[in-house]
Amino acid sequence: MRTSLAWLRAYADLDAPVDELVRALVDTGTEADRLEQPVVARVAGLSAIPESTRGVRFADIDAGTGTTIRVITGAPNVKPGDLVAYGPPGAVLPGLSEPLQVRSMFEGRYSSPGMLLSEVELGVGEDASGLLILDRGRPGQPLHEVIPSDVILDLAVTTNRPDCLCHLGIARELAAALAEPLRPPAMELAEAFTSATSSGRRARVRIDDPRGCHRFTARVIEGVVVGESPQWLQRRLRAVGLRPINSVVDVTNYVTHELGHPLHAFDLDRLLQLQGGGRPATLTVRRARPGESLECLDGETRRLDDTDMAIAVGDTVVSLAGVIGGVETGVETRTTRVLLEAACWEPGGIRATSRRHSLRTDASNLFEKGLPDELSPLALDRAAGLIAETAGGHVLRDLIDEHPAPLPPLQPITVTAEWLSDRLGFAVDLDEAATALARLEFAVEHGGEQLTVLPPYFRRDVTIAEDVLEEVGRSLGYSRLPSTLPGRRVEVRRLAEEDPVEEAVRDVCVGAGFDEVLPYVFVRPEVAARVPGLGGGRTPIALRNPLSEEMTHLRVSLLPGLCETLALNLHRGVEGAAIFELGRAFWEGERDTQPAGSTPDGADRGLPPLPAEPLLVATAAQVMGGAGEAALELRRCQALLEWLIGSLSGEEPGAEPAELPGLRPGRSAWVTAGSRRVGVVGELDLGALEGFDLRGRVAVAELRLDALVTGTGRRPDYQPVPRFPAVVQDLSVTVRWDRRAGDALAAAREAAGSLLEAVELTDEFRGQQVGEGRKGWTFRLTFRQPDRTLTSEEAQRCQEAIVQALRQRCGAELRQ
Amino acid sequence: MSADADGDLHDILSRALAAVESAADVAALDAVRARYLGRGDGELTLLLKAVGGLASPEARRQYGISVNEAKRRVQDELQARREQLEAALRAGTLRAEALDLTWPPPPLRRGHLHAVTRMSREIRRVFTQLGYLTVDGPEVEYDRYNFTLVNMPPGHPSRDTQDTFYIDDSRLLRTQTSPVQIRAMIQLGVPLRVIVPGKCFRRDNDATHSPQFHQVEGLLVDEGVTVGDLKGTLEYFARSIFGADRAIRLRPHHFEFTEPSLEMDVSCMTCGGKGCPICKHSGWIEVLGSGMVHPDVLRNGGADPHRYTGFAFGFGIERAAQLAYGIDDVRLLYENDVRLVRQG
Repeated sequence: MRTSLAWLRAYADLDAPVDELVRALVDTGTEADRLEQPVVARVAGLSAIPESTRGVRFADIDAGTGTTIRVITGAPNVKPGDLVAYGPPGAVLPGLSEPLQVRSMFEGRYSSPGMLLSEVELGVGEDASGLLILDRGRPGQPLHEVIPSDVILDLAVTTNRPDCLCHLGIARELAAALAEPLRPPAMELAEAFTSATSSGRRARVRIDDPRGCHRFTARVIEGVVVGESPQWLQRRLRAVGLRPINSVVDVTNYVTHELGHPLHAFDLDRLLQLQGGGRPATLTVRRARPGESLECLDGETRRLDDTDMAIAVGDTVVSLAGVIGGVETGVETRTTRVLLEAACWEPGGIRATSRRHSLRTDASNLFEKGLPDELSPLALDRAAGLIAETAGGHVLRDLIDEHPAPLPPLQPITVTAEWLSDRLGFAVDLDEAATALARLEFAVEHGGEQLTVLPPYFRRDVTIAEDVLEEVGRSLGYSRLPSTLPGRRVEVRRLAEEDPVEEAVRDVCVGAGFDEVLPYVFVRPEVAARVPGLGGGRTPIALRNPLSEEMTHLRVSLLPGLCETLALNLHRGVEGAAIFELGRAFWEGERDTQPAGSTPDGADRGLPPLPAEPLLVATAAQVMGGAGEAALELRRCQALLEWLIGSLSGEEPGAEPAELPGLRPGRSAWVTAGSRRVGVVGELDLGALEGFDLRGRVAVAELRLDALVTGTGRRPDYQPVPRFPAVVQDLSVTVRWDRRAGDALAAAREAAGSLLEAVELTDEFRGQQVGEGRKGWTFRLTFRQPDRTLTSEEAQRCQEAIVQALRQRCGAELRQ
Repeated sequence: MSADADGDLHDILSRALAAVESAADVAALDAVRARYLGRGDGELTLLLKAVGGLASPEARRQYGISVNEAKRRVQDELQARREQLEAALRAGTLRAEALDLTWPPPPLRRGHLHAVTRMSREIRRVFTQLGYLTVDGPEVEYDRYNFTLVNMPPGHPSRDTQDTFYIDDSRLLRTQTSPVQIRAMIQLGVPLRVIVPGKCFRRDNDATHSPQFHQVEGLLVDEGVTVGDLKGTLEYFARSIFGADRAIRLRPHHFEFTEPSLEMDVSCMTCGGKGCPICKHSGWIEVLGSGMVHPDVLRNGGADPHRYTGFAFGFGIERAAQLAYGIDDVRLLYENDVRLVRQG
């Protein structure tokens, strides 16, 4: 919120330096950014710009930064050696609505970082013909130290404090913080401005929808001569970034920014014309009807519907209530009679209207926070008085005031010194708290060890004792809080927590050479389908309001995101990346139980179940080389999965070759833990590579962790080391070329029984010596008896059983 | 004793010694040994056998001594030469196998954690030391938990500031980790202290916002918890993560689920608080939002607000990582360029 310090100073003696005022605001809860300020600069030299035909020149200036700054100026009145006002980029000036920038000029050939300033831009006078030449100051000195000039602050007011969305509100906060008295502007209508005629003879108000509008106040002002506003008023409007329009509209804007209540001025004669028949204009406050439209003050014609509140005369809508007025009935130069209104609108409705029309105005911004209905007549009379003062005319007597649904009255709140002290953590002095609250216009009753406070009408955010606690805390200052750590004696109910399994898994992946990435969970269904991984066969959940066409659904697998990440890195020239992610996918309709910590009232029961969120870890490695290199990466990915399965669940990992979408046939498999499929591994097929715009080859793997982890912190099952020697024998067989090692190993294990300690495949070979269409395998068999030395006959019997099984189940022939 | 025999001995000895000296390797040396000292037909062995042919016993004795001396001499020379040759061989092998260890070794293939994970672990370590449990909740959450139960009923203006991805009327992508406050209180009961690191989503994408980001929520509920306890906890956290010499500042703020609400600033890491462009010349960097848990929220979590009080805080992990690790553009943390990840 653009805020003028000069304007704030109209309501209290805020003489402290700017930095101190900013700190006071920040310490009490209003964020204040120190914007770049104009500074004094000395003109070192001027030089012509060859391209300029209108005497625009380079000015080299010293602005106290240690280096010469070259800006561009069109001012005729400046000469070398002059002291001038310089606005650096980012500076917000009282006379300009936008912050200064580095401006590109002469078709981009030159640029000007900020500019040299005139009286008008600085908001200190009306002379726009040339630069303001200073008679004192040193380069770099803030301008407001040299001449009385305004300082613009950028304030961020929290949503619970609409009372601070105006200059009086901020001045009140500052005055309270600095213990200065507040001087609010006179709100009552001066006798001199009023007329004997009753306003009821000109206009009436009917509220058809009291929920949408709980108060509507209006005044009629006659004999107005619309012209320019006085300079002081124009200057304040410019200071907050508004363009002066005319003396009536300017007043409504001024009061909006002074008191924080929007107003609207109608040309009464237009309303009377619409009413017709010489009767008083009746403003009907109602929901807009579908099909109605309004040409608004910003020139746009908007189609209304019944989410919008409207003000209508007869059948004609004259204002999109609380947001923007209509052109037809607006105040113009020839307007002589004005109907001024200040109404209170329901915040939710204003928010909906503002959002639906994508139109945020000063008015909607205030109304959507919720304004107290006590403020409407005050703002109305303040504005009516100002119009009479600046545009002439007189205000008809009798306030038009429809107030069908007053807001519930604020309730007194009682707090004790003990409670305040216990909550804050330091001893609160009740006198001090009472004084601070009184400065904020709370009505305070101090009795013994307790305070009973009634918030002022504009503080509807204060409803419970904790709100009073906050007021006391921020007024006394949070810097007074001690820094303590909470410590209590608590009964042992829970045992020490294991490290989350995620941490161990990430460590394993990192150790195996994979870099961690965190891609988006958003995906397009076509992309999800390229390599659906463990999400195969599942439909991604659609977002109702996606951010872009690339991000319309939620992922069912981590693999597409990893492939996109590989592609991004490839495009940036990074080849051979090996990456992993640990995260969740979203599987609709697969959640078994409601998540932990669901409310016991059963309120979720009627809702669609949340999707299952399987915890997955996935890897993807890109190689520029051929099939061999890709196979190596594939095996690395597979080994990683097997390691994770073994270490997390202790089950026997395995692979089950399968044709999976997006993966090369012959190079893809389910990964199993015991008999369950818990992962996939494979190499991307050509379609997937092309789809992701990937080069080379890519090995991927995905594992479902929550299917494995039966209990975290699995401990090893230690066994004594063997005391008797093993018998190690090699066994060579030949099988048909397409036989699978997994089947052979399983057959060997089953046939050998408990004596077989380990079986490994140590070699695979093809060629003439094994024959066409066959391949050779060499197994290394380790036999051991735990309690005695094994005889070679026992080992031999065992090996024969294995050979027999291999022959039967794999068609193996013994090789001599 | 014949002059002939003596002459033979001398001749053989000098040939043997010459052969030892000229043997180029251990194999040649072995051949020399066999030729002169071979048990059956070594030349010196044969001389010894021929001793029996001498007439006088004295001559036999003398001659025997001479031959044995010659044998011993050859043996000693053989041994010396063997050691010499073996030493040369060892030296040659060492020379041949020498490594230039100043040549940089081939890198181990190792991966790296993402900066967000790294920061998340640092944060977790700090709060684990303070006795907090780590918990999490669903990323697709009910509107009720994300908003209504943390004091943002339908139509509440604060919902507008958190642009939300909806799936349907009741389900959304959580915009904050705060719904886990409710779930944790219901699941674990009070008193409790938990942190909730996790993904959050907002419909927002610009120079400083990503539609997907990470937050850590903290919640402590107990009897007699004060705002001072909140301050102490935040200070312990901030100085652990951002440096022991950091100062913190609490400012009043407004959140629906806390009352009072506070924001915490940390003194600027870049300028140390003097004021610089990073901290917009204020000397302070905004880090997190916090406050005392609102009585309504305690009630929604099943805790009696008359007996229990508590505090909650929440902040962006990306932001913390950016500040603590000196990453000037937060977008880098969302891009997944492995060249950034590999610096971790």
